[in-house]
Amino acid sequence: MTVFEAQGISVSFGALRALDDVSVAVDPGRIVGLIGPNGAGKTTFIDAITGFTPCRGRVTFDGRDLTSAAPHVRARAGLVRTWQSVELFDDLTVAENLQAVAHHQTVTGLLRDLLRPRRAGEGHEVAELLEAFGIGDLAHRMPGELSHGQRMLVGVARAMATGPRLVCMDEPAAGLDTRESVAFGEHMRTVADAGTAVLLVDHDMGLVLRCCDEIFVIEFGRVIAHGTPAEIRTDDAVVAAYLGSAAR
Amino acid sequence: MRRSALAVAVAVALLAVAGPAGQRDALASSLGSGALVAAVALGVVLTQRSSGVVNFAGGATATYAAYAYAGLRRTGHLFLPPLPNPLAVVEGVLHAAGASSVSLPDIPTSVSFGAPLNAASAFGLSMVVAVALGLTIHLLVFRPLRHAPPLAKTVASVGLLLVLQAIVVLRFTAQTVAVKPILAKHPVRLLGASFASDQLVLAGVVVAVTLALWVLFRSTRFGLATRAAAESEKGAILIGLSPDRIAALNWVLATVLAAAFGILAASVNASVDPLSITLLIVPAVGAALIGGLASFGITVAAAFAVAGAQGVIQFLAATASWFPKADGAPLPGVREALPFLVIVIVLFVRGDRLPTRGTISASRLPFAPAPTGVAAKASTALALGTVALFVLGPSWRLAAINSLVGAVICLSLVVLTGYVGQISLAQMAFAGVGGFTVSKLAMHHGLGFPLGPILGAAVAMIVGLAAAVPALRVRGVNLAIVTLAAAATVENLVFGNSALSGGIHGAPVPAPHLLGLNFGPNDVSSIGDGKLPSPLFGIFCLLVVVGLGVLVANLRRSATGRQLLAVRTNERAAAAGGIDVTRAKLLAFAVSSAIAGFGGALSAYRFGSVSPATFGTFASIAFLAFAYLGGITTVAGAVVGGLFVANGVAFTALHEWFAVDAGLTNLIGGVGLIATAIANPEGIAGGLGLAGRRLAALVPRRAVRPVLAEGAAG
Repeated sequence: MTVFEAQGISVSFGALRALDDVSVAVDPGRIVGLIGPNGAGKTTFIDAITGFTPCRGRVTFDGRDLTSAAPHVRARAGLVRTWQSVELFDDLTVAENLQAVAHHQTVTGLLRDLLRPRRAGEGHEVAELLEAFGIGDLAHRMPGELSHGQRMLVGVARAMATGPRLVCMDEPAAGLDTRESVAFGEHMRTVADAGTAVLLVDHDMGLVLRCCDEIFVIEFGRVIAHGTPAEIRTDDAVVAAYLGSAAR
Repeated sequence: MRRSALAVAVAVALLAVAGPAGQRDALASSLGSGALVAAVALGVVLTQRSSGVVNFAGGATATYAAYAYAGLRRTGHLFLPPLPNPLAVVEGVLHAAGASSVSLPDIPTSVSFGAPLNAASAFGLSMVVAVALGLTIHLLVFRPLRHAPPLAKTVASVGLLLVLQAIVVLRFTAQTVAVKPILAKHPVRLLGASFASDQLVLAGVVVAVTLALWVLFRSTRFGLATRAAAESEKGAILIGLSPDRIAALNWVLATVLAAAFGILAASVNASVDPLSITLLIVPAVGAALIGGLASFGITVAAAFAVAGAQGVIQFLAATASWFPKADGAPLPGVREALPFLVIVIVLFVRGDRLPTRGTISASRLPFAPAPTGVAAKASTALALGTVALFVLGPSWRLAAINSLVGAVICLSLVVLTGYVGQISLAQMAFAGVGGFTVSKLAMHHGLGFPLGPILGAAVAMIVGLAAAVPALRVRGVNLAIVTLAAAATVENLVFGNSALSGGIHGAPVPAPHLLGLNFGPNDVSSIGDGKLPSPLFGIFCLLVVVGLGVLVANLRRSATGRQLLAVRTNERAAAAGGIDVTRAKLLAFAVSSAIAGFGGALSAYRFGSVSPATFGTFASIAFLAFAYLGGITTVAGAVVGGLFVANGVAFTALHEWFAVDAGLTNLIGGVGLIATAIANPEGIAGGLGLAGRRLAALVPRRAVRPVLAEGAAG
């Protein structure tokens, strides 16, 4: 049963065809990789399916057509993303970063917030989530004080705080050292085992080949290969385009 | 964009030419005002393109130069700006020591040339003054702010506006001064309409200057260097340009242009007064916004087109039977509302709901910490405030009441600017809506306290939401421009409508009472010293401030508050987290304008009446300044901001203790604002908090945590 399906996604910037008829489907509990050389259109694909770049094609999520929905509507439906540049809310503490996206405001909610700002047990889930990513001790720190690797984890934890069905991660391991990258792979597996699908875009070939159940390779906005890590490793087109001889 | 601007221009032209001769004449006579707006707008675009500052002081610069010119022409005196005189302090100390006859020399206020100058030398000398002014502005204000976020730059330009305005009133007069025209004035028949020759010349000069600026920026090395430096300062340095010198030159150019047009404007009007040229900045920034704050041509075309349309509206108001009427007279303010409507339409056609990828979000605002110990702080404030209101004498009590009323307006800005990062220059307009509603309800429907203020806040909220619609498409300083246009619209359409506002004498507001207790400012109470204003009214104001302060602090601590702050920091990431950015902004506008409306109701009770003068555009601008000065992100900052309002505690202190003239208060406020923007963007309350945290850092580590929380909450 597929949770997410993007059919024939195309994006043009002026004369440049950034994405050309890309179709990707993701099943719950699976980690799907999206790899390709710089400028292949990986981030553009995430921008398109999460509503940040106008595109042609069709986005179906959980049986709902989200093709023309606003970004926040998609996020609430469970289609969530992280950012290559992390994009934490720098004015909020780590815990507040997660809390900000965990509830959605309503008019009655506003009235209650004005009179009784603290909700019973609201910090609880957030603390558990941070603990699960091994950053429970950072809850009351400001994002500006954290290392890059820590910020990255907070970004992913924030995405998880929305309660996603599919989380699209845009180069989450960029800038992590090998040890951190391995640990991050384990976090991602935990997320997937809990039933959340993951779409992973990354340059860290070791991470992608190790963690993904399934990989799409794009080049110049087109899918040039699709298969299991074992298949991708030996695919001639992929090797020529991207991996080079080093990956063998 | 270009197409829509063209369409407006063509539509106006067609409408006018197709109309009767009188209408053509109305269009022709709008040429002068269009040229003036265009001239000020040119300066706005110039400074924006060269140093990223939307200079709200552009009109004030022109006024300053026009007064300097008028002084030289009339009496041969060149007025000098007031400078701090260190001897005054010595004098004060000596007087306090008993030597009251000692008088040390003052800095001269003017230089005399013996006799009135002729037009050419007065103009030339005024240009020299303009060059000096431009350099001063660059060196003292905007050079230190060159890496500052847009809010700090906007606030500094507002501060500059206040300073220049205060100097004009202080040095020259608040009166209108007659100016001998430079240009000959006689009627000219052209294209079947009657033009005034001086207006034709003025318009011609404006068009010529526009072309010159266009060529300068497009084809000269200087223009290229300016664009390069504005695009990337580092890059400009790398290729051997000096961004600093380029910025200085551009400031001088902009100031000289503004000064020259200010003098020409005074000449065309045959007089100069402190406000009319200064306030041209409102339609001018509107025109500049239509030009995308970048295009000289579109900006000037928009200025002429809007002025032309206004001329036609004025003609129709006088002649057309279908024109909307109020009390038999044509509805006032329609003419003034036009720029706002045009801006809203243009932005709606053009704007993006979310900033796009690659738009660097550089709009860092001061830190907005989550408050702690709200209940304890609120009760302390309540207790201390109550004691103070009874202990203080009448003049200080009045000052405290004025400050409390001001603090409410500052609180409204904490929600909007502090929490969501939206700059509003319309808070007093929203407050005025609240005040007039209270008056209307009391006089015509017998609804007094507490229903009046509550409904007043509700009506203000509706007006605020209407003003917020274009705000969904723009952010930062562009939003400041939109709200400024909205404030001018409300001022003219609502407050200027005597049927609604009760004319220049204002609309009466009966004193509030509840359950047989009269607590108006002029109700003599048996408690306290029995003098006016009544301490009971002070306590009423205190309760409102503390109550609203707790609500605003709660908002910051709540789920909604975190979402507002998330939107402030990063709209794209907020949307990606499922936060409805549009809704968050609307919500903030609603809460903020409701608070402002309540503040307006309080102000109405304070004066016993509401008059349009209290809620003018200028007052709105000043309030952003006060709130920023106090600290725009915290409740404590709003209270400190309240201290600085006109006739508030700070100025009463200056007056009572240092015998500082009331005329100096705006000057000091403006200078303080610029200094705050440069040195201490978190405001006075934030600065105190920061000092607290620094002190705490000196204490051994174990003890830091609780102190830190206290400091951060200050």
